[in-house]
This record gives sequence, structure tokens and C-alpha cells, in this order.
Amino acid sequence: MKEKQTACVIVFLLAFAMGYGMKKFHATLVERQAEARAAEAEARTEENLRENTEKQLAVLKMGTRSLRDYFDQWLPHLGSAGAVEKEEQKIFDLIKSAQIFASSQRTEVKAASGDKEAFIPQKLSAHLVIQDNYTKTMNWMGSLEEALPSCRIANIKLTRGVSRNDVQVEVTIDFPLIASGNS
Amino acid sequence: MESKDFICHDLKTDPPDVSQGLPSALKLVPILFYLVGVASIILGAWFAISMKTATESKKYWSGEISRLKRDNERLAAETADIEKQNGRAREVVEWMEGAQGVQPLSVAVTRSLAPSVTLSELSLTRNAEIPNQLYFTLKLDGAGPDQLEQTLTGIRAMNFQDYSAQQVKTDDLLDYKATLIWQNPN
Repeated sequence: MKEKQTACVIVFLLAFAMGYGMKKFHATLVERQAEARAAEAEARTEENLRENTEKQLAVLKMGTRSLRDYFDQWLPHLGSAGAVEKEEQKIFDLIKSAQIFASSQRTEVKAASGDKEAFIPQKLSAHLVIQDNYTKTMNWMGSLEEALPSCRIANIKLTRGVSRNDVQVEVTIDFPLIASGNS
Repeated sequence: MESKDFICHDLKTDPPDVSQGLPSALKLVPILFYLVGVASIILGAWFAISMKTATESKKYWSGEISRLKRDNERLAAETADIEKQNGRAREVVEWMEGAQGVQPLSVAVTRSLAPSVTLSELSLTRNAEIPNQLYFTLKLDGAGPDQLEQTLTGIRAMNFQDYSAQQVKTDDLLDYKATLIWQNPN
């Protein structure tokens, strides 16, 4: 009798162990399924994010295409902070080729913006005093603005020159200098 | 001859027929065991298949997450690049808006002058803060209101609008000051 009861207890324990094992297995399965569902939900979120970002990027690209085309068009006309002498030479070459009399000419590099991270952080300012024939001087100014289209005349003062057809022009021309490595 | 019969007395008691059966409650234990055993095999197989599916699903979606995150990072980098380019482009636009030709404006002013009028001084100074604005100073000898109107017509034809005008006339000298703002014709 006792052995049978013991056997029963053992069999019961075995049955219990199997049941418990199954319960644990099921719990692990539920956990794994929950992980899979969570991964799927996260992937769906990422996919929605990607779709939204793609749409926003397409809208951004489309909306600013003309702006970037404008930038690409003007980029070759901007000077480089690393080649100031080259930009200075362009201005002086224009004076030389026009054969006009510059009684004073000096250049300096100034900050163009308070932001050092700006795309155009500096500018080359050329201060010139021209004393020559009115037509010749105006033609030179026209050719300067044509040859250096990104130059900005910061100020200009025209007064009468020595003779009737002469004019004295005091002009400050600013030329944008982009940071080296951006050109 | 005396026969000696061997008498053997069986002193042992008869063994009980069979052991007593288990209590009825315990009879369910083996049944329970078999049921649990069969259920465990069936459920175990089902759970194993489900576990494999769930594991594969998790692995697949984890791979998708990695791929989508890479895509999103790439798109974010591309967006940042476009924004950076736009920022640069806006700086260039701002610069160029303050780089309208001054020579045509100067020529327009001098061309508008009648032969009897002499240009004493023409000054154009760009506003450092708002580069598309120019402080305009014009000093003319022998000019009247008609001449000034003609000069301003020439200036407006160059897409500049005059604001805050001040005009002083002393003897023959006409001193005119204004702020010129370039109007984008587009």
C-alpha cells in the first residue's frame, strides 16, 4: 500500500512537473510573441517616420530648388577667404585694364557677419578714389559690376573733378569671401 | 518395517489474495499523468512551432528596425544637408539683394540732369543692416523742382523707391536726401 502511494505521489509530481514545465514554456512563448509584436510595432513606427521624413524631404527639396539653383549659380562668383590676394588682384586688374587714374586704393578684410559659422563670414573691402573722365569712370564702374557681379558697392560719392568732364569718385566696394573649404 | 511418513505441517498462513486497491482519489493520478503527458506533447509541439515563428518574426522585425533606422538616419542627414545648403543659399540671396548695380543708378541720375544743371555731389551709402536700402544724397546747382522730379523719375525707373525724402533749397543749391529701397521687379 505504501509503495503504491509513494508511486502515486511520484507520478503526481511528474505530472505536476510536466504541467509546470508547459506553463513556463507557454510563458516564455507569450513573452517571445510580445517581443515580436513590440518589434513589429516599432518597425511600423520607424516605417511611418521614414515615410513622413521622405515626404517632408521631397517637399523641402521641391520648395527650395530655386533657392539652391540660385546658390549653385552664384557660388563660382564668390571669393574665398583663403585667396584674398586673388580677389584683390581682380579689382586692381580692372582698374589697370580700364586705364583710369586711381589716386588712392587700399583693401582690407572685414567681418561680414557677427556669426563666425556664417557661409560668408568675411568681406574684402576695397576703398578707391578715382579721378578721371566721367564717361571713362562710369564705364569702369559698369565693367566692374559686370565682371564681379557679387560685389556690393557699400558707398559711392561722386563730386566734380578738376576739369569740366572729370569726376572724382570715392567708392568702397565689398566683395564676399566664403570660408575656405566651402568653395 | 516401520514406514516413516514425512509429515509436513504447513505453518505458513495463506498470503492475502491481493493488496488493497488504492483509494479512489488516487486512482485519478495515473489518469492525470497520462492526460498531462499527452497534453504536454501536443502543447509542447504547438508551443515549439509558435516559439519558432515568434523568434523568426522577432528576428525579421529587428532586421527591419535596423534597416529603417539606417534609412531614417540617412534621410535626416540628407534633410540636414539640404537645410544647410538652404541656409547658405539664403545668405547668398541676402548678399546679392544688397548688390544691385549702383552704376546704372548713378548714370540714370546724371543723365536726367538738364544741361543748365551741374552735379555738385551724388552720394549713395548702403545701409549696413538692410543692404537693399541706400542713403541717397544729391546736391545740384541751378536745379528746380522740375529737375528733381525728372531725376526721381529716372531713379524709380531703376526699380528704386524713394522714402523719407528731405529737400533743402538755398540760393542755387538744391540739397536732396532720401532713402532708396530697391523693389524686386519679380
